[in-house]
Amino acid sequence: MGAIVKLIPINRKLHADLLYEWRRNPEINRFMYSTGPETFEDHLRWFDKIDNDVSHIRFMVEQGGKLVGTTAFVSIDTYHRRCDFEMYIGESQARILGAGAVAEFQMLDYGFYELNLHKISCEVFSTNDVAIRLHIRMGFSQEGILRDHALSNTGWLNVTRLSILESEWKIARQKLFQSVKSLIPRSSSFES
Amino acid sequence: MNTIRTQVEKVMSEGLADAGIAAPNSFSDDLILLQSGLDSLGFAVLVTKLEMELGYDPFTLMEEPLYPRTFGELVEVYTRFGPSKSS
Repeated sequence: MGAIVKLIPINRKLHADLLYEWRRNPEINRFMYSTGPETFEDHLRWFDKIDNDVSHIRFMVEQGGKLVGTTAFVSIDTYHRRCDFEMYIGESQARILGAGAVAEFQMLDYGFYELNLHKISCEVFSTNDVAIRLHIRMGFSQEGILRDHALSNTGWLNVTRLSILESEWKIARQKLFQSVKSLIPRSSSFES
Repeated sequence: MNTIRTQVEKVMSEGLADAGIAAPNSFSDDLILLQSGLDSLGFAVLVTKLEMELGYDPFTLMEEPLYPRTFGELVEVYTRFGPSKSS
């Protein structure tokens, strides 16, 4: 298995407890709009919402047989062929083996080549420069700054909005593939 | 001379350069990897390049996932799971 990163469709029975832990972890949710569910029942209602939302596709990120994070497309718009991308790595040490970048690579492949999207966007707290830099290195471009867009326990935060187009991913992918190919399961490769 | 350490240092320096970050003059064993300046893509590239240069991926050889926290631990993983040690 090694450091290979896989995307696994979310499963309430298998993943609810771990996601509850991550969503409530301040080290993780300090980079998110929500501070997580108050109770496990609230968390299960979030699962209900996902289950009934056709514009939301969520995966767990697995590395070397261990669940290390989660990623999703939300607000999928099939007419305009666009969506918003979300991801966090709950096991911080998994970043050492590139889990986030490899999961992002596979999500962009999935979005553009399986879902036939034209544009994928994401929003990152402007203080999270590591994440912004990663997205740009993956081929995203910054669209703008949403001023005072999120309220955190330290005050208002700017949010950086980024996006990548289908044509841009095709170019970025060619540069990135050699760097991440050994960490991607063969069956999920969309190399063209 | 620790060849593995030298190669890890070389590949890590290249990764930092790719990310626009100056590499330190020397990598100390207690350098925290998550504070080294490499992002997730940088680490993915590091693992891939080391597999290409050393000819093995220690993370495929270990039974339980092991995440090195420091530069010294990273070198130790590559040293411990090197061909002569794992066979």
